[in-house]
Amino acid sequence: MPKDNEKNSIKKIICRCEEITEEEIREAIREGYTTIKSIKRRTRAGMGLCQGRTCSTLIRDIIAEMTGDKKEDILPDSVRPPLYPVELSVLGKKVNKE
Amino acid sequence: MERMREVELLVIGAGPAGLGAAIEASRYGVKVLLVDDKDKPGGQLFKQIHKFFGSKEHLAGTRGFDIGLHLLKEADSQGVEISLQTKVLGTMDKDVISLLVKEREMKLLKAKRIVLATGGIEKALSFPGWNLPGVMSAGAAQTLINIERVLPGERILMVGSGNVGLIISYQLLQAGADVVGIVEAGSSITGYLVHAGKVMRAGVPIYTSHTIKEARGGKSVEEVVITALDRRWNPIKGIEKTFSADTVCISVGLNPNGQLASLAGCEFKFFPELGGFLPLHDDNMESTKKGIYIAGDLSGIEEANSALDEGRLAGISVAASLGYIDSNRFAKLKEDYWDRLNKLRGGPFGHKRSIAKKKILLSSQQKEMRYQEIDCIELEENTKLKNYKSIPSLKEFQEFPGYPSLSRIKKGAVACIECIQEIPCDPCVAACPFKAININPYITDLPYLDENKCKGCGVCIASCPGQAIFVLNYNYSSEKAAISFPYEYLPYPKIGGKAVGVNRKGEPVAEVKIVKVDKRANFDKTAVITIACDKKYINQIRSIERIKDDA
Repeated sequence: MPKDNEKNSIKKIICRCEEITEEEIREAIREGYTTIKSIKRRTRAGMGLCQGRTCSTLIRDIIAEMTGDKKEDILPDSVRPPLYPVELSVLGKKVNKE
Repeated sequence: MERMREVELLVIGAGPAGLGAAIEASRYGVKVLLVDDKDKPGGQLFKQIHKFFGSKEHLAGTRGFDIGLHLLKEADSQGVEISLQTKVLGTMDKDVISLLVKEREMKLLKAKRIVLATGGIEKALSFPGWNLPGVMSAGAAQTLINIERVLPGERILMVGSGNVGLIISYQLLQAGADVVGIVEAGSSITGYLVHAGKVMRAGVPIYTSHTIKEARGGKSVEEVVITALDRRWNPIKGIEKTFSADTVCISVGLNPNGQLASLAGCEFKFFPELGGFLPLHDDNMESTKKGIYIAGDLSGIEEANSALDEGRLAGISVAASLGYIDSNRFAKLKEDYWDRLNKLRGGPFGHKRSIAKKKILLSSQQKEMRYQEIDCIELEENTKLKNYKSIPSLKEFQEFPGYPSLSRIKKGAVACIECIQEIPCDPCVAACPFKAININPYITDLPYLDENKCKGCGVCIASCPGQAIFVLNYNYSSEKAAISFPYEYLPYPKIGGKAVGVNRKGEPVAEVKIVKVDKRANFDKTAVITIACDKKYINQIRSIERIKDDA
């Protein structure tokens, strides 16, 4: 299984927003980045439009497979506002205190 | 200076949980603002075109979108203010919530209480080719067919045999697509077997101990490869199948959507039975952050009825905490909701969720205790039934209390209830005018057929959300028997016409004649078809091959 995994991982994209492949994630883990947060900083996986909604659980699975860590110990990434993309023109407008 | 608006209760998410919370809080006098990022309220309810399980309180037997309409009416009559296309961007400053309305306008407001009902997010599955156009989540396919009325493809492979995968496969068939197969990594079908039965009768193969290996194609999916898995979920070399397919639907579970709860500072823990990391809550649905309540899939992935009841519970808790309900009344109401929730979590399917929910309550009471240490919660394994990996054999079916005896079958028309798992559902009991069906004492118990009371009238057929009831008439004529079954595909077969009778696995058995197509209004779009066939097929034929609309 690991062999197959590695062969396929070169072209297999994990973070679709930032187009980060599984191999790039595995490389980061081999370099010692073994949390979702540090992998995000190292590779940009989870930094795109969807903010990791899709890929973070996939990354957790890869970390668990490679390090043997339990999934419950691989914490989710920290969340920061804004949760959705906002146009700068909207942010620049006077805020309506409804 | 303008004063910032302050609401008593802000409910975030207008699915069943959010609607439930908003309706109940309003009922007792709380001023509620309900926001949702979509352009329509209802969450996933309006995508659900199938009849729901549950009890009378849960409007069981009603189609999901009708339950949605019912809730919107209730919200309207309680005066709930709903703001749509409203995204919550976060909590900016102390207790100030920022909203983005219609992508154009930012609003800030304060809330005395918040109910987070942000739902779940479908889990992804990565495999070579998973980013080709044509690969989508099962929920996306459901939105396409049931909301946008667009077929995502003609030949579909479903990955995952949970209830979501089975129900959406069925709905894709109803929409006119072919489902080339359902793959399941585990060794047994994980959803209800009655849901599996619907797609199997339609001829869809379910491959257990299989997973998708690859999706191939130039510009979009053209073919898919599935592979067999050993007991440890490793692919077995050489056992592969290739299908021509244009769509792959992924239905491998959901994660609680905890981003806002995390931002608000709620404490999370990992509960795999409920979808992963989720915020802890007490028995009032209050999170570890005072004044912030959670409900629905955010507090653990379940289904719409539990979400609705959890939402209603959160709503009355908010009302009580603001002084709108006195403590005695609240205690009584709360007990009722827990009673309903415990019923929904009864039976073997709810067992794990029920234990996980108890762990959540314990964890929130004793925060220093890790949940592994309270693993020893005693909850009796409440089933004596065998765990079927797929639909059982006829012999096994005949042992269930809903299957009539051979001597009764020979006497003439009788219901045949092929409901073989303890799931929380009972509309068949109320449907029978002769009180011939009983589910006692728990709603998860199997239906028992009193074959002497049963007249074989067949009103129970359309009432069963699992489509597991048939009527067998051995004495239709001197040579022929008649079999009645539910049918929800268009076009309907024509009376007097011929069709191919199929067994429980969708395999053709014999040519049959359509003798009746009953579309009466209170069957709510489930037609009851009666076919005449050779008497020897009375225990075999359970449906007909879908009639393709080739006009």
